[in-house]
Amino acid sequence: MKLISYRHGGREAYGVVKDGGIVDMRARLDHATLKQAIAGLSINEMEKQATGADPDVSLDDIDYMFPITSPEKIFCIGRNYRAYHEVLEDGGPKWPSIFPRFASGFAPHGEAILRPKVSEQLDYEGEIGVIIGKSGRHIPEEKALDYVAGYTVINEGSVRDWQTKGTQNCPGKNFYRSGAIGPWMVTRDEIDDLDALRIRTTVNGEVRQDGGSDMMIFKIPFVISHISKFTLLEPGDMIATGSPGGSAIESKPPKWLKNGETISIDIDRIGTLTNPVADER
Amino acid sequence: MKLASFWVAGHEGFGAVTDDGIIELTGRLSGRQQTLREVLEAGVLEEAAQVVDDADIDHALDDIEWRLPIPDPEKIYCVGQNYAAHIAEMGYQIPTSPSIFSRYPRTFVPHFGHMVMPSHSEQYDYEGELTAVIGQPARHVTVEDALAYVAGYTVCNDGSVRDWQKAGPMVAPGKNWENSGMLGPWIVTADAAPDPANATLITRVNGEERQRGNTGDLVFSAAFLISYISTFITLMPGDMITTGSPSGVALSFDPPKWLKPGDRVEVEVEGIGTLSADVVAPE
Repeated sequence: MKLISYRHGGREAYGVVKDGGIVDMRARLDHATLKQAIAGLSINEMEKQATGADPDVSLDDIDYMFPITSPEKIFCIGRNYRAYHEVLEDGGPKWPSIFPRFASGFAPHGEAILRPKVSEQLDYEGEIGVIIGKSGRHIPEEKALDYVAGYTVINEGSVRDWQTKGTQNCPGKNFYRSGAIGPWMVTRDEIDDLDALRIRTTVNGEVRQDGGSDMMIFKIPFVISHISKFTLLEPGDMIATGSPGGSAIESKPPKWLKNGETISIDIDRIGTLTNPVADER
Repeated sequence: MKLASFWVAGHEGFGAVTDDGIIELTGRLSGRQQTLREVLEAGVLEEAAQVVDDADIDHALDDIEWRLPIPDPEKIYCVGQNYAAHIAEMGYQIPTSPSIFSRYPRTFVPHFGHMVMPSHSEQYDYEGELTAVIGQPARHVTVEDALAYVAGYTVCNDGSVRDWQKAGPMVAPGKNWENSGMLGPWIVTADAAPDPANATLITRVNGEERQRGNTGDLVFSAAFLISYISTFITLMPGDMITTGSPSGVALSFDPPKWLKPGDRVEVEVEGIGTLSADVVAPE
């Protein structure tokens, strides 16, 4: 099942994506937001209500919002894909690179990603986004997926020169609307093999990233378990799980995103996140 | 004016703190604001001051349970390695750009709260800091103008779990342990606060002085940090920037004086107040 948050006719709502349209769940359930519906364990209820219902609104007529409009936490994992045939030195990193981002660093599906005034080095990173479905602390790895509501597509956009100015990457990872999240989330049951997802990023139709989730170094269950050692994961929290090779910085010269380009990130079984690129004014 | 958020008589509220007690302001301004963040967003600190001038005390200080001064800030940015002597004791070089990272609100406990000893580490450390609270949206502001965007100042313990801070290339895991830091007790509005570039800061553990510094020694001043962060994001009312910690952290002692259950941590910033909380064992 695909779940979406959207704005239509000045009203914010959420629903089930079906037959090119949306079955409005805000009108059918007591919960005001998708985050609350997930926290209220209403995924099954949404499935039931959507069965046999006709769409209330077309996808062409909405403004997309983040699937979870106001996540409390967004943790990102850096450097989490090895290249095909790559042998990691000393067995690879011992610990994942983990950093937080705030929602204001992202744009929803269809809205412009902004290249900042102070830098030319706007880069993209296509990633599988995990959306947490229930609260958990000290979650064992073997039970980690029980805490997942579903998955979305994240462009963990980065401003490279600001990422390396200080010891922490935070400034380069926190530029206003430098990344994107969406267009919707798919529920956990839609994906039977997390190691078999292909991530393809195109810029104006040119393939830039094309990698498989089997190249992930720290797997999703480990990452959930690890983060839950230090903080309580809550419904609606997101984890961006890292990006395969092919970012702009890897080309010579680097193919930084430019005003007027369109970037699309497609992940098997989840969906395609598309955004125009614009200069910050 | 000192402004705080609290629980009282079973509800969430906010108000002004005086030596004699609390003047509650919840729903009392013309905009009926229910939180301190809403007051900052509406830009009505002057109206709050006028109400406080004519008001009687509503609650004794003992009758409230302190909350984080802004319980639900959108963003909290922290700065590491920002006092020369602390940089030396951690074994780092003086940076040319600030070391900036973020923390989520749930990693902090309020005044008189209970910090929880990390369940997977013994290397639990304190970092006393001066914290600026943003009063109006700030994007691309100059260093000269930056302090005009500050609503006031509060006190922070940027509590850190040192081994988790070094597990992986980014410090976030060691800086985001649940209930590992402190924020509060209140916000002293900018008009009543000391010069943020000349405030004495002291951290005590069980009464023993561990850190003593002056914000005049900051490598990157509060004004610079606000300007710098506003280059990449709009700082919003209620957002906080905590400015770094002087030397004397637990790690700097041989052997390190790590925090443990039963310890009391106090951070005092002259002219702002003293923030206090105890460490308890994990469940």
